[in-house]
Amino acid sequence: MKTALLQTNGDPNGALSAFLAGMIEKGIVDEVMAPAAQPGGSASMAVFADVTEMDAIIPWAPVMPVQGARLLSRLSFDDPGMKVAVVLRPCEARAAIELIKLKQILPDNITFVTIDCPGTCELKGFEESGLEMKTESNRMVDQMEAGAATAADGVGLRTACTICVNSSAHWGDVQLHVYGTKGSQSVAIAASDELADALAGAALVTFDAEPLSGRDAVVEGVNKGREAAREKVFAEMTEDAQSLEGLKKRFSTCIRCLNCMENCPICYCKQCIFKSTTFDHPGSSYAKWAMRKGVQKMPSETMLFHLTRLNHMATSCIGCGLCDTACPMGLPVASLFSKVANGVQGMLDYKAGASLEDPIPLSVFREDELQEESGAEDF
Amino acid sequence: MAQQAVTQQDFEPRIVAFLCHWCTYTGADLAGTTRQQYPPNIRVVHLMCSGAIDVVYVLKALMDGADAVLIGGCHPGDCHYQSGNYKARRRVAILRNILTQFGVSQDRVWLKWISASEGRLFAETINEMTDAVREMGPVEFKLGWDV
Repeated sequence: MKTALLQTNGDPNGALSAFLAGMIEKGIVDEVMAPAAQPGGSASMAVFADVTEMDAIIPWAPVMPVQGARLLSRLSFDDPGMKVAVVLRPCEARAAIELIKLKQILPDNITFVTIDCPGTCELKGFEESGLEMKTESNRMVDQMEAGAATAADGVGLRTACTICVNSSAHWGDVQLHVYGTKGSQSVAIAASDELADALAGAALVTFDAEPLSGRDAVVEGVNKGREAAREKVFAEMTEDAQSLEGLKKRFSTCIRCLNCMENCPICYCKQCIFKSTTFDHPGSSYAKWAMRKGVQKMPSETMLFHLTRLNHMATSCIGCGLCDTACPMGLPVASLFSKVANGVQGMLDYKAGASLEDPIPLSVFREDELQEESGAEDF
Repeated sequence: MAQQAVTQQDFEPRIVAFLCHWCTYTGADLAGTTRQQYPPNIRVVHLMCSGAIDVVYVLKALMDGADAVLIGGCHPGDCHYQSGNYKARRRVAILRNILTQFGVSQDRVWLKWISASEGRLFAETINEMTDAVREMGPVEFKLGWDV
């Protein structure tokens, strides 16, 4: 990796947008996919081919309504046919790593641009605050010189962001390092040697800087604080879910809308059983079940849905919390699922999204393992 | 007339058994032809491989009447499809881990390796499992109607 400093002149979002536009102009990529301001105060991903429109890009947008990796999977499930640079937050990058391994993203023509992330707010709260997105975003980026960014009073970060211990860019062809530098003056660009040569050759930036000396310490400080917050949330979830009664209390208002699944980057199955007609029972079935059990809950099978989905995605859950954002009933899906996923990944000695090399747990096995956990003796 | 809540005294365990075609199902057949005795508490679902089991079937069984689920497959190294049983083992380990985190005993899900020649072991397993489940009582999901 080589490092360059990108001068930001008080506007890190604008400086990175201009840099990305430069990548198109100099022919390094054909298109750029990045979060962009939307009417009404939101931001969502868009694919830009026209550089004159690119000032709408806000890479550090303080909201994330949809998971970027899920959208990237749309763009690059097969070869998009041209080179695209994609701006991803660390949780989106980790989801992308899982999706590459699950063969849902073809990375060949994608240039991954990853950023140190200040965190995101719930969309509704942010819109109601009336804050100007770019100004607020630049303010948050600037805070990262010394530690974790904070959202404006009364808005607050999403729960998943307040317990995120992976907010620094750890992977990617081009990484934007913000922790440990004054973002309003400059941010650091770390690029793979090959790409750095191309960027320097195109006179976009000069790779003559040292890696940020203070970044590791700042990241460590951020993670330490977040680790404590995470323990607290996980303990709360353990308390709530240690009996089925507690779980039922928390999840009884589920309307089985499947939004948590729709917004989950890991739930990629095109033919999910819960989207099929399997659970569209004839009316007589409900009547018979009520007769047999005494009472039949409606809507039925909400718990079956959550426990099944949890079993399917726990090995790859990266804790982005977009299931929380998508839930119309305000259920703590993310906190509970990441706590459970943490236990499952610990058992399998796997960390979702950490690297492209570790194989997906359900794609491999060892001959001698999990005897006690599965309950099956040796032979 | 709707069935009343099951009391501990008249509790009769209901076990759903997913058995692989090549080993455990054939082992169960052998238990029958060799007249091994085992309690009639199991309902068998015949599958081609233990690796073909998705957790949705196990969970649906547990939430809709089964007090425990048995998954029977070939011994490690003997899978007719090379590695189905190893994959089943990972899935079952994940399921048991998750059930435990929600206060459901992991002993509601049993994974056993029983070959086509082990009719006696099959009968012993069903005896052992029926006793164990009788001891545990009705599955946690049955303790309220609101799942």
